[in-house]
Amino acid sequence: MGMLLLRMYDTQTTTFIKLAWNLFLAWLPLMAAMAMVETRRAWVLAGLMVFWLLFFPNSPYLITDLIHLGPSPDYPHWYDAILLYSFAFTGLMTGILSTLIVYSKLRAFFDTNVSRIIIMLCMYAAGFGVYVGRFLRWNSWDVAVKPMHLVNTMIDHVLHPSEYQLAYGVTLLSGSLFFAIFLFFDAIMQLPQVPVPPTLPAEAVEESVPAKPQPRSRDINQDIAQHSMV
Amino acid sequence: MHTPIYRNALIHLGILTAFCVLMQAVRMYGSSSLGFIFLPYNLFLAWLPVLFSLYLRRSSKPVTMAMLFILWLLFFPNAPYIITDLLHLKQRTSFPHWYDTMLVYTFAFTGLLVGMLSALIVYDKLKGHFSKTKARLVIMLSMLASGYGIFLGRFLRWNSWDAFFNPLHILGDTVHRIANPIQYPRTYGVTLVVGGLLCITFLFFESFTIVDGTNAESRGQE
Repeated sequence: MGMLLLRMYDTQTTTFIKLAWNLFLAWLPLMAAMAMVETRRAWVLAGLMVFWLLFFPNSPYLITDLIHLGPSPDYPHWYDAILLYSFAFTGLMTGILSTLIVYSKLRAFFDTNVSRIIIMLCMYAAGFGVYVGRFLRWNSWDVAVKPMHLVNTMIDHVLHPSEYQLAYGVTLLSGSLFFAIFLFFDAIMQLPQVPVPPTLPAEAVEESVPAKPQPRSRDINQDIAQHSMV
Repeated sequence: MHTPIYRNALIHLGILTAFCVLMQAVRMYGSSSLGFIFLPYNLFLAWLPVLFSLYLRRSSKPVTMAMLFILWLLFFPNAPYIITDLLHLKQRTSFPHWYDTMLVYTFAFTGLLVGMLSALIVYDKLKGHFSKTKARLVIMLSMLASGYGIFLGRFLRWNSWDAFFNPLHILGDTVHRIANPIQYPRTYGVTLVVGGLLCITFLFFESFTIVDGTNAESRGQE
């Protein structure tokens, strides 16, 4: 945000102001996920889950704003590139964090594999959501405002795959990307639970943080799950 | 190399890297051209600091550690450097614009993650020898230095290994810029903006490992 303000002040224009709006939208799924941590009732959870799924595509959507990147006469190109990248990166992070929270919540109800498959399907749905947002210019709330139109469009896409190669390309590509990134973050969440390796010399082990070598099998996901079960 | 702690993270970064290379292959096949061929090479360079940080983690002699730390610091800027490849994005007739955007973003994102993992490994090692505050300070300074490194790489077209081949030339450039700050707003702009971004990103990734219960206890004991 600071970077955007600096650019607006310097150029006296409101170029890229929609980035701020898009980033606000990217925070909504995270808020939905945070609300999910607190709730226990099944139908509230289901409602929040649908809300999360509808608004999740807004987070990675910021990546597609990079399409607007091009040398502009009124400001250094490198600054615009880093500006857009920062927004896209932050958006993706809020999205992935919200996904991790939803994933931990799912694991309280299903086993790990089922939860993972649900998340994978959600990521491909999000890939389609990004396509719908970028190329058909729909918003998350259009699902509630004009659902029939959207359903017709989707049926059209499913029935005539060869006419809509763009839709399938964007969906598969970004869906796979989101899922791969999600798996990476799922992996690094478990980093600290592994003990200090035996390859370290004895004095280094003594100097290192005392509680580190405890081989605990807890991670943040289970932490949240336990917290919300209480 | 046997590295149990980071194995999971490394495997998944490997998958992401394979995904990048696949996207690049599709583009080369689809457009029958070598466009963006520099991306895989840059991603290869981005992996080098991980290699050095893994060696650093296993070494115990002070001299070796210092050498590996310097090597890591010299090659670390290659990881976030891919972000600046976004400058090459523009509307082309040979391939869909959205695909190119996704391609470069995926490479840039993977490069940054690879870099952050290596920074976390180095940070972990530093914490074994210094206090947490000092270790964090060292990493923050390294991130700012990388901001400058990216400037050197992008605009003056230096490579990491030029620190060995052309040290005096780079030193001259640097001294000149420190002596005349007004003449080089871009140098300071890139260094501060990129360095700041890297600092924030590192703190975010570090917070992922602190949330864990074991580390929270150890913080209480310090």
